[in-house]
Amino acid sequence: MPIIVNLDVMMARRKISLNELSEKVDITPANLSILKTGKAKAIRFSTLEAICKVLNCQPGDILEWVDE
Amino acid sequence: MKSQKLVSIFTVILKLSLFVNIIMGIALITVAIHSTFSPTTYEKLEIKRNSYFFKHSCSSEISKNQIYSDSKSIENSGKEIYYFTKQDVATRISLVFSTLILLTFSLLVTRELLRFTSSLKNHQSMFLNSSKCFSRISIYLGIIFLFVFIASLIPLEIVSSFNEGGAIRTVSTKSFSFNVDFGLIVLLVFSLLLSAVFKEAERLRSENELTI
Repeated sequence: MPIIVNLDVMMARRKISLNELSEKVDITPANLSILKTGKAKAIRFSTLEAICKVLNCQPGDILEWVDE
Repeated sequence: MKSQKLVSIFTVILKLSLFVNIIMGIALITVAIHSTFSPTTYEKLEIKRNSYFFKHSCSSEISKNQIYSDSKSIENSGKEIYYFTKQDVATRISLVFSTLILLTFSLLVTRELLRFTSSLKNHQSMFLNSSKCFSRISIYLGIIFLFVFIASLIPLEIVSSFNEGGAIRTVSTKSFSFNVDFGLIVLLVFSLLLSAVFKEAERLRSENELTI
């Protein structure tokens, strides 16, 4: 898929676990795991905003486009 | 709540229809076998001209061989009746067999519709199951359509009885015609359409589920 989710990289940098992040962002760990593993088909702006707020980063730090 | 009630009513109607289908099939087989051993019991059993097998919704008679030379006067004399026991064995077997095939496939269609109503309860797999149900229904309808069309091309010897001045005269005719039931085609297309709609709905649902 051309859009790569670097959520695990940001989580490692901020030293936050999946469960902790899911609690703070208010989405289920299962959904967060789907996002982390790149299986998600779409992300809402509200979710992206919440993740960036908790991880104190830009959307570009989490989402990356690569040419297939 | 209203929609659930409607689904329940629909399910009951379908189950009744399934039951009636089975009873009709059993009755048909019983009559066919019993009439062979005791034809006098079914002397007055008539085949109606507008029964499904004889229906010509869009037909053209290409040739008709009339065995009696004064058949025209016979045709004008009175009501044409088709007695089941007066037909020859091949015709009777054709009639019974084709009706059984049609009953079987209409039973299968009813069963698929029942599966569709039961799949409405399971929201997770509702769209996928519904899509499969309607694609199977379209296959069964396609088979019924092909069968009716091909069967109508086979010339059948039909024995008609006429009441002429109190006496019953019989005329044996061979007719050749073709039957294209546009109602079936419409139902087939509609089923295919519904199957495609549910397939697309399933695709959208799974995409929505994977939207974080």
